[in-house]
Amino acid sequence: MAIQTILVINRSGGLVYQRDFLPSAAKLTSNEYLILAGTLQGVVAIASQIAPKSLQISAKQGAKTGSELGDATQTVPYVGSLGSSAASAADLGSFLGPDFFNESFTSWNTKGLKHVTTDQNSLFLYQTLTGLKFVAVSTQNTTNAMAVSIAENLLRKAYCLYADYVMKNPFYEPEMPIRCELFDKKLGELVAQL
Amino acid sequence: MSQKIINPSTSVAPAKHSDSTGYDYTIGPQQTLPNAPSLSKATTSLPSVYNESLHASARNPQVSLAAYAFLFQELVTQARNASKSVSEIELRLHRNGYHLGIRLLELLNFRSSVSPGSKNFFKPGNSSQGVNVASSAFQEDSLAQGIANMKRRDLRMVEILQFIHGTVWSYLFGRVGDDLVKSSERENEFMIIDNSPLLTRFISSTNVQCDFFVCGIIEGILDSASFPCNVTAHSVPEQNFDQKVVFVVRFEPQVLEREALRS
Repeated sequence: MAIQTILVINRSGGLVYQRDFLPSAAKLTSNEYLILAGTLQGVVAIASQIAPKSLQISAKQGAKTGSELGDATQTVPYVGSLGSSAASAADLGSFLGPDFFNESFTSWNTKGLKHVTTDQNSLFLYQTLTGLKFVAVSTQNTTNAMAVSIAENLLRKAYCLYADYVMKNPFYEPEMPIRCELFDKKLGELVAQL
Repeated sequence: MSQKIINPSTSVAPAKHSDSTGYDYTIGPQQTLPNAPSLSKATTSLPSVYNESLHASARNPQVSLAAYAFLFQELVTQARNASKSVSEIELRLHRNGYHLGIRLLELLNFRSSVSPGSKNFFKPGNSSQGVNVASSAFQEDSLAQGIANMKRRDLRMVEILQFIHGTVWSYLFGRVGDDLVKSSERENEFMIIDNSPLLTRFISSTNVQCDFFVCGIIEGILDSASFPCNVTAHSVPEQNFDQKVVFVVRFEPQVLEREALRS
């Protein structure tokens, strides 16, 4: 699975970060990316409205009993290989592990859009508690649950990087487009390790 | 509640609480449990498990890096809002650090002379009044001894720089500096090298050099130790350490003159 693009959408639906990882892939213009971000925001809102009531209830129960993804996230193949960057991440100072996290986690995106598959691409969406959305576009059309959980893990790590290198940067204005060299660099490393 | 029941003399109770305020001047901030001091007093005079944090890395006092990063971020933002130019931001950070440095010199010198274990002597051992008076007299005595035995002031340039590179760095950042180099070109120039500065770890390199805060700390220490100097920070990205920072310490000529007289 090759990641083509990673997007970060703020809580009001604006595109704050966009980066292409495959130079060969067809590119959208920046305007088209803005439209994509706005559309996704709308689709997520609509999807959460049209989810059947029975599904909403079962999802709630799933969230109560524990992580929805279960132990599948633990066995995701790249979790271990990310440890190669442990040297820089291990001394992060807080009590976090070298890899930010190594347990399964609860998905907060219980009602909205999770992934979209077309013949050429698939799009994964990770939603945080604060309404921030991380979107990954991959070059593979896949519907299996493993790929979805890999993508969720990846995007959650991107969220950790965002929390560290964007939110702790005094020169970043919240809700504005992200221009942080370190975030770019670390995200590049993260994707390259896949 | 429990202390009033167990302790026979409540009149001396406030004095006894002074050593459990969560701050020990020989070590620094310490983790305390609300009920722990009275418990340990009642049962045993030895330091009990309740006085210590259960977390392994809390035994050497540390603060969360994330919390510190946010605090530092606020410091930088405040300096940025109050300033008109990049150099003014750096000057403000520098000034903030300077006051920290002045205090650090005294504090670290004192702590390196008084060993942390000796605070056991300071603790009143018994709750009965007579022993308390004796032990408080002993306490003053031993503290005075500690001051008399204090580490002598560093008088040479290299000594004080080693103190910064070693003691100060490990107090501030949990490790010693990466290198201490003397400039080959100028006699009065020294360089302290940090390969991955802790404070600015999360800050993308912009035109503002946030390490000027650390410069201020260094200059504060050196100034109050009577080594007037000028410290600047320069970011020198290398292949493995792209956040490497070199702190250049430029001593005033009179320091060199004094050094020449001394040798």
